[in-house]
Amino acid sequence: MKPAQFEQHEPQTVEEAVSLLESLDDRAILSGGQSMVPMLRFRLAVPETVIDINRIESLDYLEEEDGWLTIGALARHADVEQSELVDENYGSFADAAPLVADPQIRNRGTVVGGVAQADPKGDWGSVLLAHEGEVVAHGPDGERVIPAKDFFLLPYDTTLDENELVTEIRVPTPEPREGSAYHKLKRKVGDYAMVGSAARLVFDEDGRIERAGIGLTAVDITNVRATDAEDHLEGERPGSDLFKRAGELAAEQSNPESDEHGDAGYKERMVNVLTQRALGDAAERAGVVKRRVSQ
Amino acid sequence: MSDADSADATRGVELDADDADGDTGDTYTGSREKRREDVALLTGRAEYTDDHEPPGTVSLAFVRSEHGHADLKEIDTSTAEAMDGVIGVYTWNDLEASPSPGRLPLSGLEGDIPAHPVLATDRVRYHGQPIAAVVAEDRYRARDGVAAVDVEYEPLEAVVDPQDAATDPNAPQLFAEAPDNVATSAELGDADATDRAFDAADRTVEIDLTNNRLIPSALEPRAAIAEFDPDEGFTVTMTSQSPHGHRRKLAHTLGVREGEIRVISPHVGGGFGHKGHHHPGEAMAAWCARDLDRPVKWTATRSENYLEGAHGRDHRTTAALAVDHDGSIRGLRAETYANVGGYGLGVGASMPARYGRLLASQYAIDAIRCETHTVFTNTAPIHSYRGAGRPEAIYVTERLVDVAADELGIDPVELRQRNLIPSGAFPYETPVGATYDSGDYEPAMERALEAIGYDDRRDRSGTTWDSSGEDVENGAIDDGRLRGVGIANYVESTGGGFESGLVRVLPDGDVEVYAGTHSHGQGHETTYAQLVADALSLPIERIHVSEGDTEAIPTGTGTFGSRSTIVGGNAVVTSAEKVLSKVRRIAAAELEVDPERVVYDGGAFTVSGTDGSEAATASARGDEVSFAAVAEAAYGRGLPDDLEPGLEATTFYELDGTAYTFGTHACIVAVDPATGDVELERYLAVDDCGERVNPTIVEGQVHGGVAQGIAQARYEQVAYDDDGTLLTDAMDSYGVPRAADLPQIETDATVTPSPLNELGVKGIGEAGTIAAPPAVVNAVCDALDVAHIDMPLTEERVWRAVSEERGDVN
Ligand SMILES: Cc1cc2nc3c(=O)[nH]c(=O)nc-3n(C[C@H](O)[C@H](O)[C@H](O)COP(=O)(O)OP(=O)(O)OC[C@H]3O[C@@H](n4cnc5c(N)ncnc54)[C@H](O)[C@@H]3O)c2cc1C
Repeated sequence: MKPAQFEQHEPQTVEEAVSLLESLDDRAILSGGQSMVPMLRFRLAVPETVIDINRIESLDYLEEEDGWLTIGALARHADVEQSELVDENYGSFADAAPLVADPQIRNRGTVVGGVAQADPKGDWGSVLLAHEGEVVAHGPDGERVIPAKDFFLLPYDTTLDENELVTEIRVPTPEPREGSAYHKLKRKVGDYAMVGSAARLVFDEDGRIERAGIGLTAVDITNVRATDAEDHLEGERPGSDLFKRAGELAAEQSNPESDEHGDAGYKERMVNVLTQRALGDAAERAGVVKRRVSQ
Repeated sequence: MSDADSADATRGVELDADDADGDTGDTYTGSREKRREDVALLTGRAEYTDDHEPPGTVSLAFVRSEHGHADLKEIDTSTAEAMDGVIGVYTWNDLEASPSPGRLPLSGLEGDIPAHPVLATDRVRYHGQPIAAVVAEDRYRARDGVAAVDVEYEPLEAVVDPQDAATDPNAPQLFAEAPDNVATSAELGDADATDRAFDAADRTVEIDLTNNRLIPSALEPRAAIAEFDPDEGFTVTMTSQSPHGHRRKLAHTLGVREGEIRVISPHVGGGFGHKGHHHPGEAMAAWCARDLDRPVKWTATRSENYLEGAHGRDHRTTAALAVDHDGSIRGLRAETYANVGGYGLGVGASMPARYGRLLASQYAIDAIRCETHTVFTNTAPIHSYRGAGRPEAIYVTERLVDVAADELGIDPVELRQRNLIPSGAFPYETPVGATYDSGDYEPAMERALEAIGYDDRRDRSGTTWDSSGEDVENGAIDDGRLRGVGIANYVESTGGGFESGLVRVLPDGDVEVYAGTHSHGQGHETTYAQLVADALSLPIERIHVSEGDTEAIPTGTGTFGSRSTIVGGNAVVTSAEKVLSKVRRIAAAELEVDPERVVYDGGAFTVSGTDGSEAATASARGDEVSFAAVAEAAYGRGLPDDLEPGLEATTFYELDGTAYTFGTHACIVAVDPATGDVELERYLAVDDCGERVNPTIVEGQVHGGVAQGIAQARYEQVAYDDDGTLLTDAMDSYGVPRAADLPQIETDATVTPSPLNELGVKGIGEAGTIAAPPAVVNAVCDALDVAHIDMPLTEERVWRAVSEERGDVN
C-alpha cells in the first residue's frame, strides 16, 4: 500500500467520532477499510486525516429490536453470513452475504460501510431498498433517520451530512407472509455484481401481494428501486406471467452501462431474468407458492 | 456402484493405478516424493526479491504513459526534483548522455526497427510505457515524486488490433521502418501441395477465430534490487526465470560486459514467461544504482505489471480444413495476424512466426500451410506466455476439427480417431517441419473418453441431463441448464536449447547440484534431488540443489518452454554419472582391484567375483568402501596417479531433437441459457509426458496449466479502447479466476518414453494451457449446438449465442 501521508484518529465513542468530524477539515471515516484502503492505496482518496471507527464497540451488533433487524456500523459482512437469525428470517440478506466479495473481505468489511460507500455495484443498497429499510446517522445535532430510498444520491455520494456518522442500518422484521431473495450475476467468485436484483414480497391473507420491494444492483448511478415493477405486482396473485412482466418492467426502468463484462442490452435482459428469479424465490419463501418455475 | 458413481468416487484423485505403472520400489524417480521446497514456501520463510533490502536501499518508481500513442512535448521534472526525499528524476536524455545504450535487446527482425527504450524517447507507443524514473528514499516518496512529474502529451491516433494495423490503409503507422506495421511475415509448409489438397478434398471447412490476449498474473509481481560496486560491478537480485539470460540482456542494455554483472534470483513467485523477458524495471534499477551509488529497489505494482506486460497470445486467425466426406483430413491452411504490441521485446516480435509448427496436432494431414504476420500496435508488448505459440496452434486445429465434424455429421471423436498419426509412424515429420519423437495417441484418448463417459454424454448433448449422466426423466433434477461435452487432443513441443548441470561431491559425501534452470513453482529442488539420488544411489537427504545465481552456476539457459526436467534433469544426471565413474575408480584403488570388479550398492563399494585373485581376497575379507570414504579420498592424498583431486562434473546438455508430449483433455459443461453462465462440471486431463520423475509434481503442473487454460477460455480478457487505453488494468476487471471458479481437475496418464533422452522424459509445464481452451470451447459449442464462440466465453457471448441459435435475440 502506497498512500499519501495522513494522520489517524481512533475514537472510542460515537460522540468522540462526531466531534472529530466537526473539528477536522479534510478527513475520511475508516471502518472495515475494504473500500477505503484501496482508495487510499490508489490515491483516489487523499485525506489529511483518517478517523478509524473500529474502536467504537457500541456499534458492533446485529439483532432484532422493536420490530427492526438492526445492523450496527461495525457488524461485518461475515457476521451477517454467519447469523442464524438472518438465515432463518431474512432470505435476501442470507443470499447476499456470501456473495459479497471474498471471505477475507467479508471478515473485515462492514455492511454499513458498504451502504455508506454508495457504490452502485454494492449489494447491500439493493437489499436495503427492497426491504424499505432505513439508515440511522449521528451528527452534532444527534440522531437522524434517513429512509433508504432517500439515501443514495450519486455513485459514492449520499445524503449524509458532512459531519454525520452512520451508526446503523435497519429493516422491518418480517410480516407473517413475507419472503425475500437476492440474485446476483457475476463473472467470478468474489466479484462485484454485473447485475443484481433483491426482491421482498409481503402477501395478504388471500395470497395477494400486499407489498413488493425490488432493489437493483449495478444498473444505474446508484442502487435503485424498480418502482414500476413493484406497482405492477401489488394487489396481484403470484405467478410466472406476473413475474415475467415484473422482470420486463424492472429491465425497462434500469439504465445499465456497457463495459468489458457485458453490454447494456445484455445487462437489461439480465435485470429481467434475475428479478424473475428473485421474485420466484421470495414467493416460495413466503410460503405462498410451491416450487418456482424452472427457467 | 454404477459407472457414474465410480467415476465420481475418483474425482480429484489420480485415476490410474499408480502403483501398477510405477515400478518404483527402490528408486526415488517415479515416486511421489514430497516437494522439499514447500515447507519454506508454505510457512512464509522463503525469501523473495522484495524481502531483500541491503542497507541504504532507495526506491525506484516510474512515470508511465497515460496514452496509447502520443508525442511527448515536454517532461517537467522540476517539482518532483525539489521534493523532500526525492533523490533523482531521470528521462531519456539522461540515459542518452550516459555510456549505456539504454535500449532493450531486440532480435529476429529485418531492417532498423527501433528497440524498446528503457525510458521513452520522443514518442510513446503504448499505455503504461515508462517515460521517467523517480528515485526516492522510500517507495511512498517515490510515488509522491511520480505524481509530481508533469508530462505534456500530444495524443496520436492509435491502433490496437493486429489485423487492422496490418490491413487497414488508414491505420496509424508505429514505425517508419515497419511498413503496414508489419514486424515479420513468415510462411510455413508447402503452398502448392496445400492448394492441391484443398482442390482434391470433398469439402472445405472454415473458421475465423481470435486467440485472446492474456496478461500473466504471477502472484509475485516483477521486482529487482540493483547494487553497484566500482570494483565488483553490478549485483542484480531479481525475479528471474533465467538468471544467465537476464545477465546477458542486462549487459546489452547497460553496455557493460557480462562478467561485470551478477544476477541472483531468490524464490520466485510464479513467472509464466514474463519473468524470463527483459523489461525496463531491472535495467533502470541497475542504471540508477551506478549513477547514485546506492542500492536501488524496484517492485512493480499489480497495475504496473498489467500495463507493461509482456502480455501473451493475441492472434487473429482465418483457417480452413480440407476434408473428405468420410472424415479424412487432407489439408489445413491458416493465416494469422499476431500482435507484437508497441515494441518488440527480444525474440518476442519474431517468435510467433513459428507458431504454425504445431498445427498438425495429432493428425496425419497431407499438407499444411501457415502464413503469419507479426504486427505492431499501440498495446503492451507481447512475448511468450505459458504455452507460447502451442496453445494458439492447437486451438486452431482442435476447433476446426469440431466444426468439420459438425458439418460432416460425424462425431468429433470419430473424426479425430480416423486421422490420428498411427503409433507405428514415429518419429513422424509433419508438413510444417516438426518431427514428433514418439507417441501413442489412441490409448490416451480412450482413457479420457471412458473416464468422462463420452458416448453416453455425447448422445444427450444440448439437453439437460445432469453431471452424473442421469437422465432428467430418470430422476435427476432438471435445473434447466444445457450440457455439453468437449474433447481436445494436443501435442506439446518440449526441451529446446542447452542446459547446464553441475554435480559436486563434498569431502563428507554430501552432494551439491547446480542447474542453470530456475524453479519458480516447478519443484526442481525435489525433482533434481530424486534424479541425482538415484544416479548416485544415495539417500535423497544428502542431495542439495541450488539454482539462481550466475556466480555459482555454470552458464545455463533457464526455466521456460517445459524444458527443465528434460535438459536440466538430463544435465544433472549426466554429471552424476560422470562423477560416479570417477568414484568407482577411486573405490577400486582403495579396494586394490580393477574398476570393473567394483560393485556399488547401498552407498558402499564391494568387490565382485571369487576367482582366486586379489579381488577374491578382498571380497573374502569383506572389504567395503563407503561413498563418503571415497569422497574424502578424492580430496586427499594417495589418489591414483592418473586422477586429479576433486569430485565434480559439469554437463552442458542439449537434446538432439524435440520431445513431444501429448494427451487428451475432456470436459463437461452446464450452460444456463437464460444468463449465459457456464459451469465446468467435470474436467479430465490425460497427459503423456513420457517417464514421470515425480507424478505429484507432474499433476501439479497439469493442474496449474489447466487452470490457466480454463481462465483463457472462460474469464480472462484484455480490453483496450480505441485510443489504446488499457481498461482491464487490475485482476478483477481482467478476470483472473479464483479456486472456487475452477472445477475439480481429474488427472490420468499414459507413459510413452521419449527416445531422445536417457531418462525418457518429456516436458509437461504447458500442457494444460494448450489443451484446456479448445476442450472448454468445444464443450460449450456442443452444449449450444453452435459452430464457434470466441474466447473468453463471457456470459454475454454465450447468452447471445444461445439466443441467436434459438432465434430470439433482442
Ligand atoms: C475486491 C473487492 C470486492 C468487493 N466485492 C464486493 C461485492 O461483491 N459486493 C459489495 O457490496 N461490496 C464489495 N466490496 C466492497 C466491500 O463490501 C466493502 O467492505 C464495503 O464497500 C465497505 O465497507 P467497509 O467497512 O470496508 O468500509 P470502508 O472501506 O472503511 O469505508 C467505505 C466508505 O464508507 C465510508 N464509511 C464507512 N463507514 C462509515 C460510517 N459508519 N459512516 C459514514 N461513512 C462511513 C468511508 O468513509 C468510505 O468512504 C468489495 C471490495 C473489494 C476490495
